[in-house]
Amino acid sequence: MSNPYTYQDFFSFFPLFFRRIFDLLTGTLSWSELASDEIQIFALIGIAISGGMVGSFLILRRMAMVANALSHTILLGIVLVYLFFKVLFHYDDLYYALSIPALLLAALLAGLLTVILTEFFTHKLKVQEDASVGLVFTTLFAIGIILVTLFTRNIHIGTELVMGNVDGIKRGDLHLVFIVVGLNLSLYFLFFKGLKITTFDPQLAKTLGFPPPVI
Amino acid sequence: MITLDRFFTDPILRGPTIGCMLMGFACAFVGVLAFVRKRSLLGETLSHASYPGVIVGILLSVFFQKEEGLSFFILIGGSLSAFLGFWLVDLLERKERITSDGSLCLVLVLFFGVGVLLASIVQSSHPHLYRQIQSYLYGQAATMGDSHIFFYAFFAAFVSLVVTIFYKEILALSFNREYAQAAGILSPWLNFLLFFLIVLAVIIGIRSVGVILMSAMLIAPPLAARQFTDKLSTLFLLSGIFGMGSGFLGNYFSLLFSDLFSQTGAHLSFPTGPMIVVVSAFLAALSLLFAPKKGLIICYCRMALFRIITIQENLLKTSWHLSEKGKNSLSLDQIGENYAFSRITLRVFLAILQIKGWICIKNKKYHLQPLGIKRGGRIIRLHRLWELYLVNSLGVGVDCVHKSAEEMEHILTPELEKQLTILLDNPKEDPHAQPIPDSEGMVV
Repeated sequence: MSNPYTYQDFFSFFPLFFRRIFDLLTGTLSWSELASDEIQIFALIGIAISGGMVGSFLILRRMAMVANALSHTILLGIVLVYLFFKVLFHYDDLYYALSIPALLLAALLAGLLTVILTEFFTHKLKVQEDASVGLVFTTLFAIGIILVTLFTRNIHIGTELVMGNVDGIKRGDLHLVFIVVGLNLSLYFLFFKGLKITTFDPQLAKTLGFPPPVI
Repeated sequence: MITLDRFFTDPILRGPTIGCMLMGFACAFVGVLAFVRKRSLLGETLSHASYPGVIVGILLSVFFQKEEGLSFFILIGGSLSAFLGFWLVDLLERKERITSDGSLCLVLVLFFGVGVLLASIVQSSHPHLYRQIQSYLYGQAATMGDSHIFFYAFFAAFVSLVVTIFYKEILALSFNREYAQAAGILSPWLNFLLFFLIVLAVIIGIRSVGVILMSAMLIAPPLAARQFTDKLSTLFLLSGIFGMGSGFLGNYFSLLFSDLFSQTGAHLSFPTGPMIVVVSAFLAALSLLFAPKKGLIICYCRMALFRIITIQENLLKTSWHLSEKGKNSLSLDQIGENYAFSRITLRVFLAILQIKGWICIKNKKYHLQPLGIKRGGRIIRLHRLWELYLVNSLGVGVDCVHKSAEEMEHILTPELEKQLTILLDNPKEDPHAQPIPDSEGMVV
């Protein structure tokens, strides 16, 4: 299937894009005919929605830097998930480690590790909060990089995560992104009151495991 | 096997090693400035903010055909964009009243995003430069040469000179802003100078440790040093030493591990920058756990020791009370009557008392020794002195003083005892009309 956006310039992109969206909604265009650019735009919109929703709470709780920390430590989570797959199932393909279910698992793992360690540093070891956040995530990220270079001999995975690679998003991933958005939305509405009340309670950090912060 | 001196003499090794040590020193020194003002995450934002400037610097230096060595353009570009980031954070916090973490995060993401965008543009236009740009992300210590050593030595000297000259001002600025303001020390340009130092340290660090991990070098050494000292000057010095140490150990371990693995046939390379960060974090964690005064494990040990001593003294006290009532040979059950210990625990504690020479065992009966009588008497004396002090001097009710005295009898030092004796005019009786033993622990 050829990409309808080939050879379109910046300004003619948008009319075409909106016409195709309209076609999609009226049923003239089926979902399977989506071009890769559209998939990317939809995925990015989904990520922006979930990020924005969680982000507003983070700003209220003054935890923006914690989100930054989590998006760093996810690298370690991904490496661990990759190693886990490699050891258990002998999947040696990076594709599995970079697919969205694996990323979710990695985010959950890394998020928990970061939050637990940061809390331990802040409350048990009586370190200033910003110093403990800064120390924990840089260290976990450093361990992540060391493991990446050791086991994959391919810094590509690291760079791809740090820089992002929209071209890597497939149609299957799109469904998952929107499942996450849906999950976020429903959690948001279900627990809105709870979230509002506990805005000064670090429990929200656990829900942070849901959105894939970097892709 | 690699010998230590090779790290300083080998022409390939000495560049990264000494360079990283100087970098660690300078960053740790400057990190204290951010640490004492609780602005540790500023380094994180500034290091990311320098990334677009570094890319522009690389492009410019290629444009002027200066590929080798530490380019002037990269330094200037990185500093300028880090400064722009700092200015923006300051603006957002002051003018727009955005919370500090929000503005830090926003500026970080904004600048790093621009950097990544620039990097991908360069990737398609100048593919051969992309590698060099990437090396600033995670740092590339291994390619540093002798020119870097001189350069970093200059920077480290400059940083420590500035801190030494303005030590008094920094002290006032960091701990007492109002005083500093009143004394006229808080000039805007001094503040500017201090942040200039932080920017400088970040620029020094990105070459070896990388944009992303740079901030750890500003946080970990001061944090480790803080556990050993309360004095700012010592903090600077210790932090510098920790930074230098992690710079060296990071290089050492990365080479050592690569060497060990290559002997087994696997060719693995341990990246130096992340190794330095891990070592410095490890040092910080060790100090947090085991520092002699503030370490968590040490505190736990001290608490456990205190509890054990308290139990021993309480057992001795019980025996003292019993023998005062005329019972000289005590059975295990008599001593342990009011304690929730098992018989074995009780035996262990009594054995410790025996080792200390406070009691002895004859025919399964416990007898107080003269040393134990003296020691027990002293504890009773402290208990009753404290009760009397609470009642007479602080006006606490007679019925409420026993509990407090139960704790204080284990804490009061001989000096405090002397003070109390003088204050209470060498008393002979406590508020419950019980005799107070004399300072030798004897009841007269």
